Amino acid sequence: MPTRDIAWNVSEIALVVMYALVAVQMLFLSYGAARRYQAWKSGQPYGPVTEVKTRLSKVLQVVFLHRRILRRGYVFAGLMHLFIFYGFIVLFIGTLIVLLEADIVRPYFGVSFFHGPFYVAYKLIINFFGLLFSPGKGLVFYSPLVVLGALGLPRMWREDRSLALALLGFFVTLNAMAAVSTYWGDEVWGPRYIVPAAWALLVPIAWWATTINRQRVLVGLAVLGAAVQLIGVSVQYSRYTEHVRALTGVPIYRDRLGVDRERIPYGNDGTRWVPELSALLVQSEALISSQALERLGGDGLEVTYAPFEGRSRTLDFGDPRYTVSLDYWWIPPPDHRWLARLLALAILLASLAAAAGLYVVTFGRGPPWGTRNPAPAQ
Amino acid sequence: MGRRAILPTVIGIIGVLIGVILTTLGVTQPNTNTLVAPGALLITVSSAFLGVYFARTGVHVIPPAMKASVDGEST
Repeated sequence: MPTRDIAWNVSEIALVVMYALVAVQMLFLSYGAARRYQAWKSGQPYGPVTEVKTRLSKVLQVVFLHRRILRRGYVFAGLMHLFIFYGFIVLFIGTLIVLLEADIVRPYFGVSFFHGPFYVAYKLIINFFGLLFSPGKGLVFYSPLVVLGALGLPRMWREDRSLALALLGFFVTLNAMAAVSTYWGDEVWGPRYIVPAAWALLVPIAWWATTINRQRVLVGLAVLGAAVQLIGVSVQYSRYTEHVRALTGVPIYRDRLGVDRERIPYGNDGTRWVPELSALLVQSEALISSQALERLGGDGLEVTYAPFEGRSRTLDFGDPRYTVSLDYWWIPPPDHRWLARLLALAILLASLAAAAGLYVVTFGRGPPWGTRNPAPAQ
Repeated sequence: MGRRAILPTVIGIIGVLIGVILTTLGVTQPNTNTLVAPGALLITVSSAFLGVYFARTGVHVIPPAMKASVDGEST
């Protein structure tokens, strides 16, 4: 039955310190709340005090919809606050569930609900956000343009609600389907299970990129997104698993079956929640070391991974076992040396021409791709 | 904060300490899981009591202007 250990690989000292720190937090929280209450009490009644229903509805709107923060002129700040707010809410609910299981239901009633269908539902929510934001698999890192799409959604929602609803419904449904599985589509580059849904968050970019500066940001992020994919296709993913093995001392993914779990320094969940072990970072470091530093005559890059517990290890990308060669394995380069160079030059020229063409179309005179001027930004 | 505040402060701190001892036992000793929840609850309640008590009896860490407005004094 699917489940996981609670506080696995977290030392007893860390747990005690965590509980002790509750005292400090509660002290400050209670002090602040009591001062605030005194401040309210010292004032005169104001506004519709007796209309409890209206006031309650207003409070709920301000809290959960951010009515006071998310307003015209403050959309970015408001959105950021909304994301942080809901991130905390989701994590808080997750923590409450763990508290119920570990400290109340199991020790007192001898039963456990943290497995089977309930655990799967719990994981669904956590995986859902992990597929979007985790450092090892998060869509926002592997396809950064979706961030602009998310920024365009509020305006799209106002101007073309049915389209926004259709796109959101599609995106959320497919992401939820991928999140049901505890298997994240690992051993490949990025969150591959939600690739079919990622485009849905690119459409609203048109509702965001309405000024020249925003279009510049869009081009910059598009270039970054292309670079991320280039890092992905330049090296075989199997090299990444070897690098992680060297950094952590244990095999990665299914190869680690049979390894004592206490020896795995990144927990039960693969490497996707560990920023230092993100494929994006490790593969970039390997490429920078082998294809830039060493080609320019320098030493290979040395990278250290120091887990919270266990041994810290350093990986030298200059070591011949760990250097990476450019490996576009689906199409072998021509055998003839000059033919290969000619092909590389042709690809480079084509890329430059495409970039120049895109720039001219986007920033040249005349409205891009159409005769109607885009509406000014809200 | 005068001498009257000493007893409640001591009680609150002792509550926090007992709570920390209970959770420490519950986390570190085998078969004592049931101590964690009451320990954490004791930490929470005692420190909340301390916080509210300090706020009501006048341990002020807020700026004088705000304190004045809170206390209804003129600045």
